[in-house]
Amino acid sequence: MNFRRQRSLGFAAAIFVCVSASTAFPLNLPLTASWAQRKITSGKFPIHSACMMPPQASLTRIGMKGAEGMSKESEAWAAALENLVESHLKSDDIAIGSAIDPLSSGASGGEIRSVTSQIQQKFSSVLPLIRKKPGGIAKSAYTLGDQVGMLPCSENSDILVFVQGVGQVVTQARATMTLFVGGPAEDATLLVTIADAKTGEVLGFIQVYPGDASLLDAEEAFGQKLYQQLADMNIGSARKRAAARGH
Amino acid sequence: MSRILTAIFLFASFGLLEAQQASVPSQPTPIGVHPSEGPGAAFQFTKADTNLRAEADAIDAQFENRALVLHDPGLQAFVDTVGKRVLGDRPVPEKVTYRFLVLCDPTVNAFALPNGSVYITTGLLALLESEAQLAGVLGHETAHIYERHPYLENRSIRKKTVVSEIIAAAAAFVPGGYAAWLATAATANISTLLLVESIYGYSREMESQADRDGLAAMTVAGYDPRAMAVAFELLDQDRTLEYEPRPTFYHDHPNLTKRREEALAFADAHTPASSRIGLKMDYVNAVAPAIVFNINADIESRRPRTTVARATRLVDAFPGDPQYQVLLGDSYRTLGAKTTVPTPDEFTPDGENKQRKQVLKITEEEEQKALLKTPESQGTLRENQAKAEKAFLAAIERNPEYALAYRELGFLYQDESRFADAAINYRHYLQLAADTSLDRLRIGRRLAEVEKLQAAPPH
Repeated sequence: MNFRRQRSLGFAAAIFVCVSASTAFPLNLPLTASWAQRKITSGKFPIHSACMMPPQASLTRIGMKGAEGMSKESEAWAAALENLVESHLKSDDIAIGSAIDPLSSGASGGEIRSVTSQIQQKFSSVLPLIRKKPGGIAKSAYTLGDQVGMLPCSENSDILVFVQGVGQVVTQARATMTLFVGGPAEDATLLVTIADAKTGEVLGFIQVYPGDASLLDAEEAFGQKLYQQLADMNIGSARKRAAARGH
Repeated sequence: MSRILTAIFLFASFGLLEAQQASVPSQPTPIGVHPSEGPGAAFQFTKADTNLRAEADAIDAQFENRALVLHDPGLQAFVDTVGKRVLGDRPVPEKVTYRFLVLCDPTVNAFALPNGSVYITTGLLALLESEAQLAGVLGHETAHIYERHPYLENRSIRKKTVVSEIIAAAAAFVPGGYAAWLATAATANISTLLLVESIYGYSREMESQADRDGLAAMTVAGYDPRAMAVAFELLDQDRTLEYEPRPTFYHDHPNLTKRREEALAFADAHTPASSRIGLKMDYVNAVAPAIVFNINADIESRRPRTTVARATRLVDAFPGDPQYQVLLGDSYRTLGAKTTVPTPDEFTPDGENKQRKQVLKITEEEEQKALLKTPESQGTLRENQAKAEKAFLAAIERNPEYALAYRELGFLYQDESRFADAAINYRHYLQLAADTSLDRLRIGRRLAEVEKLQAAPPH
């Protein structure tokens, strides 16, 4: 009898642990990864300059009473993520420009905003496909069209860079509760997409999931992993090291 | 074990406590010609409400910063005039400042923020056909503000803690959530919380209440409430034009047929002897900047049938305007091998499944390539290209100095491998386009490309 009771308790505890674990941690564990065309990884498409599209980021705070938007924090986070990507590109002596900079084109701010908006719209329709089949990048399956050439920065840039982030932060009370009974945990994703600045062809895609660090510290959360992915794509220090070795 | 049970008990208690705090009674609005004035002064603001209002202010700022608000003086004046008429002399609720704004977004939607900002998307403006229909939509949205629905819904959402759904709504970044993502693609800039309301809508009761109140408000303002029934019909017809993986709340929350019937019942009982609808032509003229923006956005968002429908409307209203002829030509060129309206096969379960795969799994280029395997689609492509050419030539006939017509004609001829003709039109464009045109470089590259292809020996 005693044995049966112990067995039932053990069984119940096992179910509880399984349920808690499955709610506290996503079942499909996200992987930090990157995909790129061969011409990028082989260095046949040298990248000397990049044009940054306006970053997009969204943060949500989850507390004991549910979720709240964090619009102001999201703006600051978007800027931090953009700075992070820029700093990694700059470390490889890649010159950085902005898509909304009119440069010497003589175009009005309204005209540039209109072109940027069209490119963002096109990117939004292509991104789900890229995420679904990132392997298609190697086969040149995705393009934003040569309208990217309308951006003033396109003329003197090799690539266009799209930076996006989404994340949820949990309050301390919610995090404690999650530990006991499961529920949402702090989570985020950083996406970096690279396209040819002249033809619009998508050349590379990186998705980075953070470690244990606070999401709001972009460098701590994503820095090292992003650096590694860029290096894998032959952008960043790996290229410099290879060049130094005379390869 | 006892610790675990204590934790579960605590969790449940939090939920109950919160449910008790958040339950603010909402009186149903009786059907009548006078719109409700909402909970008004009786409404008690909680800390969560204050946070939501601050969030709404931040969203307003975000839309402006990202240039998502369409600032066209004529259009703005039109929307403001209709909005003010609908508001009438009802008292302004506490902590509300009314603003009517046009959001650059091709999805068909409108929403109200708790601070009084009412957004109507270019997608919805492009779909509506009269001033009275717009009045109905603005009446519906202002009713949400009067009734404090954003606050009440926020409390309800927090109570239910639909965290997983909120995150799914921003599923651009959630593995596996592509259907949800596509629905939100165009609104990717919108806060995730706002997204939940605009996608899932308010509760059925709140929507019905806003419908009744909106109808009453538009009637008091002198508009014919039948126009709202027509608007629901338009929304219903429009959803069949393109495959939508997930309907927006204007389509399904509650059922459009039921909403239309209710609007008609209201109109039968309350339409005054003389009421205003507004001429279709005047409406198209007033909202033309929104339609133009929307056609370009729809082209980029893989909604070519919608672009053809909207551009046809502009050309029918103003056949002499070369800009609209060019938009129509561009729409037909984008349509490629697709038909202007869905074929009967597309409405079958198999057809819908096929469309879902096309939208979610293959690119636009792959979709066109797959379509061209059948002789019927090849014929459709030729027809659409002929219609595009006709529209571009009509634009040139009306204004031979209109540079964009030559550029688009060049694109069409390049698609058709008519490289010599493409080159001629690209050269025309470069001669006519302003020196500051952002497109000179791209067209220069295209010209070089077609000249090279023209010179190459045929295979």
